[in-house]
Amino acid sequence: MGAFLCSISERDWEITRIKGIYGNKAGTIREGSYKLFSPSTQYSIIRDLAGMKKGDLIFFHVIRKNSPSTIHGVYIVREEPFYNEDKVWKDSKERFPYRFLFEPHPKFEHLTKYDAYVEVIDLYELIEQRKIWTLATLENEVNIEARSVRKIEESREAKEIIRILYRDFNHNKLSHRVLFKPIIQKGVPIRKKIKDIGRYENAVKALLMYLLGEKDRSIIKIFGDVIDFMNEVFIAQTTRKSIDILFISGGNENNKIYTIVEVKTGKCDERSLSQVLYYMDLFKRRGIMNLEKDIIVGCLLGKDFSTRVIKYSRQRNLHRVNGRLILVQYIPNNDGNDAKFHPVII
Amino acid sequence: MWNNNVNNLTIVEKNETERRILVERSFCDEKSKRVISGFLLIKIIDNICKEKDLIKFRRALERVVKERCGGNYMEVEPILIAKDFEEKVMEFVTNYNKLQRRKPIQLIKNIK
Repeated sequence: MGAFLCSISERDWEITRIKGIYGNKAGTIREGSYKLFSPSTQYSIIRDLAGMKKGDLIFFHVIRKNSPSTIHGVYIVREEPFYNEDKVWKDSKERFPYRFLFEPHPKFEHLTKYDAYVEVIDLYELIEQRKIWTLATLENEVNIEARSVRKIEESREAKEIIRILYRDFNHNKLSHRVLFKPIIQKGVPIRKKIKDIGRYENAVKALLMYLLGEKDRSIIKIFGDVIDFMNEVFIAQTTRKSIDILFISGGNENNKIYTIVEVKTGKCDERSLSQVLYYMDLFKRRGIMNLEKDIIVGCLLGKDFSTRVIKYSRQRNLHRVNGRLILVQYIPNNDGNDAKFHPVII
Repeated sequence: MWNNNVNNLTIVEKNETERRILVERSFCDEKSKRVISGFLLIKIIDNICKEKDLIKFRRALERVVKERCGGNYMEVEPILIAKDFEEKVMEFVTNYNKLQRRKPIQLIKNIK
């Protein structure tokens, strides 16, 4: 099971909450007219949704103009992501076509019945305390890709948000019960929107996120049983550096394997390797890992690898010091609509 | 003002069998308080340094970084002193120093 934090405007929150439908935009207003996002940005939207499965936890970040933004929950996914352009919200130009359906989490229904919330500043406090470590901020910053849907860690982070929703429940809720009249809607499954694999980095990442959500056999064969996975995870808050994809696997709470995946559209060279090695070192210093028990794995995923990358990775792995490296090759097929993943023997 | 003139070196770990020492580098601040400014991990090999010696040394480096520096490799300068270095060792260390954002492993030939 996974957990997601989705941003939405104050204007659209009521319709979203009542109908149990969330939509991510496909374009923006530029020079006075509506323009679709570039393919790379569209794939980043698909990437962020691709790993979502029925039953996953959902929290909403409601962005407000004249009062502090708020975090609401807990909901669960009732229909996996799809593409549909039917009009649902009030915006005259944007249809928010990248959608999923949700409902109140049956275990925490009393929270959603009164639209319980915490202020976003409380979430930032959790980030400061490292109780939430996959996020740096929810704001749109110049040097960070604008994102509306963020996958967070389910086992610790989601639980912590639920805890503070309970903590503040008596003060932060509506005085009346809210309506829930779920909309029924279908569309093109998000998987069908993943194309151009081999051309756009975000398309490769989207496919991998989808396969992880599906617990696809070919992926499990390479990476083992994955407990949780996230994308664009902040590794260094100040430099805003982020890991492309992070997997958490391993047997129990006290012995986890953290796999840092760096995705490249083309050939992985020494620069890519250097980056993943640096991220491995940085991740170990963030205080999330148990340095004595947990294991760190670095993974380069690309179409091809330079001889030097293969040679160094092989020798480093033979030393069995400071985690290991894996190289995974992807081969686009079916006209860029799919790909096969193979571990490179090192 | 920091007093940069005082730079103390203290041996904090000594392994006679492995011929390895860990040296703590420190200086005195304006209030004459000792401040640690890093470590030197030094190993001496009388003969040619082979890959197995390098692996042992890397494991020792890993332990020191974990135990004393919270996982920060920039805190420790690794130094290997040997009569000579096997080709494989030279090759690995060259790549390691190029690829890892850590203090480089220094290879010093001990020519008597």
